[in-house]
Amino acid sequence: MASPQANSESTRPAGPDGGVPEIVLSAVAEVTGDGPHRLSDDFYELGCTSLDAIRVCLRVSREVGVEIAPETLLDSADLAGFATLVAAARDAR
Amino acid sequence: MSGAAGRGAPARPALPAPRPAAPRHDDGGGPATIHGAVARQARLRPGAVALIAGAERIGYAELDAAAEDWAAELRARGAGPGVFVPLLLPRSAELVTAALAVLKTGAAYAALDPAWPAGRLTTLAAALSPVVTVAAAPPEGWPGTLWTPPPPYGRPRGAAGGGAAAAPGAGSPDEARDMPRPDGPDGPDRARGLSGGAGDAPAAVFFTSGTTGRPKAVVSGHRATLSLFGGDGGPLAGGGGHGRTADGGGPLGGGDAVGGPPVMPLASPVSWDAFTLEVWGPLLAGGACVLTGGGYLLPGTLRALVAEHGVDTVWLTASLFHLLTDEDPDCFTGLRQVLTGGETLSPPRVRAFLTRHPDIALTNGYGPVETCVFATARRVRPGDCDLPSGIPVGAALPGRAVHVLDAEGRAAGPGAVGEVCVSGDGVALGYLGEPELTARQFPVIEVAGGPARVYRTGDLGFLDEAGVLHFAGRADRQVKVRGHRVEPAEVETAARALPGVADCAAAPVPGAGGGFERLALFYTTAPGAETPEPRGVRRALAGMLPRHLVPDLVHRRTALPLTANGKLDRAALLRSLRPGDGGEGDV
Repeated sequence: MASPQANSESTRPAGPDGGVPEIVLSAVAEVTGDGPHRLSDDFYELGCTSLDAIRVCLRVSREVGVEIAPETLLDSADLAGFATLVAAARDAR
Repeated sequence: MSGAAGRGAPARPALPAPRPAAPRHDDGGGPATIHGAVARQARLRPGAVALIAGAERIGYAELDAAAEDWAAELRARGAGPGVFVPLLLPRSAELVTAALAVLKTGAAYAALDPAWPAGRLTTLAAALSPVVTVAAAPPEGWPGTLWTPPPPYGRPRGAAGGGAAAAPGAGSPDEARDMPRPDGPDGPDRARGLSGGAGDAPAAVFFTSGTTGRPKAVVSGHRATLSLFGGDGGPLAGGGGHGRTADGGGPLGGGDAVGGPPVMPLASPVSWDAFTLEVWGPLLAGGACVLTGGGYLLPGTLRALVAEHGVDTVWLTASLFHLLTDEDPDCFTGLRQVLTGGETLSPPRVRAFLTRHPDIALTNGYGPVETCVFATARRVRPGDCDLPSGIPVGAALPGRAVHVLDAEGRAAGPGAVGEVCVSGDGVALGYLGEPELTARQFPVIEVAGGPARVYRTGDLGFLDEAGVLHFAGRADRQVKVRGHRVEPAEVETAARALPGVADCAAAPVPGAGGGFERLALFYTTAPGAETPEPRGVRRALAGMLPRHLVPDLVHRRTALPLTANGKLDRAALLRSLRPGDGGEGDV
């Protein structure tokens, strides 16, 4: 997994993960109106709800061009795990 | 759904005279049970599509015949009048068939969410004392017999008593199969005084949050559902030659639009009384119910439902309606009617929707589960967005009446806020196993027109000069969080039971638009004992409670603040949340 150093990045670095962690962090920050968050953050510990998961996944889906179900985020242990699944879904497209 | 008349409708009288508490006789000729009404549709249109599940299209005759087969299986395992049958199935054609089958035995069904924690499910099972449960994989130690429906739908119908409805017009003896209405429980007395008093047997049980730490089991009868969709249990809107009137035949009136019977998805959690709307609404009218399978109702899901299955009507809790209008307002295109409510509607979102979709009927529905889906409904119009009291919740639906009572129990005048009480056909039979609570919450009171059995909602509201109801808050701590009814005390009871927790307070966190999207829990720990971390508290609660009761924010405090009167200061607790925790900045 890429290092989570991109908290203040607004552009996507070209790395093996194709910027997915940044997309995820950016989407979560936008939905929570807060941040910066870390990939090690637990979605629930950020106080997020199922509706937030829908909002995050709509944004992530738009960015990666593949539909990501909210359950994927709700069932992930943390944002890093979610980012891994998103990257895999995009690569499988 | 009244209020749909819009232009030029005559002023409605303040309230229709409510029906007295004495038993009523049914309208001549109409089916008296939900399954009787579905069977009638199977006779009228045996080949019409009733259920759509993925690529599967299941016709009315097929559905009715399958339900007959399954009813025989359930009867053989003890289902019958006075019995409550849990259904532990995901949203599927099997779930709808099982519910219909249970009704055909004379029993009532309780659709439970298979995703709930095992401990929660087991508690609910104890309340139902099931003799038989329809389930694929229930938790360990589940009481009573289990019956797993046969896979996949559409197996050959050779079983005795099954196949008669295959050919159109083949007079299937559904009348004979219609279960006789019990005057009292014939079977084991599990109904405990809730069945058949007025010839109205229990049909469904819904669990809702209770203040004591135990959920309440609301028992709803057949008549409540039948009356919601038009009185005779028959077509609601447009189907079978019955056009939609300006008054509507019920909440699915859609205003001035005339069209066929509704095609609706079953998209809500299966345990909500939205099930009644999303399943029996279409099936009692000859429409179709679309089983979306698991998952949330996303914009893409809605688009696919419209494009692929002709879905034209949808129910969305207000939180979800707000989310969709924010994120993808065009996703509603193609719908004829959107029903929403259950929580406070956000006027800016409503205005945006009405502007973008002037041809879609937007209906705001109000009614606790104890009143069977809706007691009132409002066809929302742009002017409603400017009212200081918010979007009205509308006028009473057919067969229902609302009363706003002051502190002395007298009808409050126009504009005066009081407790909203609901009478009429939608009122539940009571709470299972709670005779005292039932007597308190469902009293017979004196209203204009005589004595009436009402449900005391605990909601505050006022009636305007036109007899339209406006919501004005709660008298107690009950709230809707993301559309789910939450008694904070139920969450607190669960948290206090955790080792190391000394005391706690749960408070809903206000969001933009007037509703609540999340629940916060503040707790203190006993001195010297283990000090549970917020993460651990949340995890423990997630193992005990359904998701909507698990607090989204958990904070440990050294002490819970008190007001000058020595009462818990919940406002101070909410203020102590960091911005971005869900305080003012919350979306």
